[in-house]
Amino acid sequence: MTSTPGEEYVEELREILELRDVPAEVVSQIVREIQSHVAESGEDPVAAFGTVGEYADNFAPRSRITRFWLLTVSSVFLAFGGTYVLINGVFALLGGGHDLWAMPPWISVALGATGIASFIVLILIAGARSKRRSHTWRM
Amino acid sequence: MVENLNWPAEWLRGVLTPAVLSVVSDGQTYGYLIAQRLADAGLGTVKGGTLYPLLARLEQDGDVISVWREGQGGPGRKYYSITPAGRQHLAALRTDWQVFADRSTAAITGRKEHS
Repeated sequence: MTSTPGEEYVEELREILELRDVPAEVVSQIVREIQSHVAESGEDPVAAFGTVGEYADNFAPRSRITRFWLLTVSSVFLAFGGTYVLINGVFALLGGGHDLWAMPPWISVALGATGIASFIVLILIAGARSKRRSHTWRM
Repeated sequence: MVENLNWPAEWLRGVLTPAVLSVVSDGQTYGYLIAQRLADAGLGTVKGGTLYPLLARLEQDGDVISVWREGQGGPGRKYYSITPAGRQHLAALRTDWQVFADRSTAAITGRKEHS
């Protein structure tokens, strides 16, 4: 069963709003109101509401997606990189393996641990910011 | 007679919030009906993309509250009502608007202001 243009529009909008960190309950209301209006007026959603991106701009800035991806990429680097460096350091300390990048093993361990700790801190901060943002919505 | 004129967007931008708040103050209503009322008032067609974010802002500011009412098997309708704070706000807007409109009219038509 193929979806109508209205359903496609609504699903795309739901995705974009969620990506821009709008709370799920608020997204449901925004999307439901569009469905309600389109059901009543029979209008084409793009004609009535603009493109999905344009309408989403009313509720959340586009820059949130960039920040989201920056966070994801840096987290991956910190987590994986940190773990790799840490494990190398541990192996070198235990007598096996070689020094990573000619670093003394204890520096590898410290660096790796710092990387992993930074990753955890980043996640916590992002989570706290997101929670604070979701509390400002009054819908 | 200038029926169904396409009013300049910049004019409407200043007018829509008070106008929508005024319509809601008349009684609990929903988006599509509000758009109808505004069109009947001669303000032209207000698009969903303009109206619903405006209503969301009014709700965010505490001037209106909303409640969903189920329809017969459809998505239902989001009904808006004005709050006491909204009524106060509207009263102030109405007074200010009257002054602003009189002065604007005088400035634009080059005639002296009433009052």
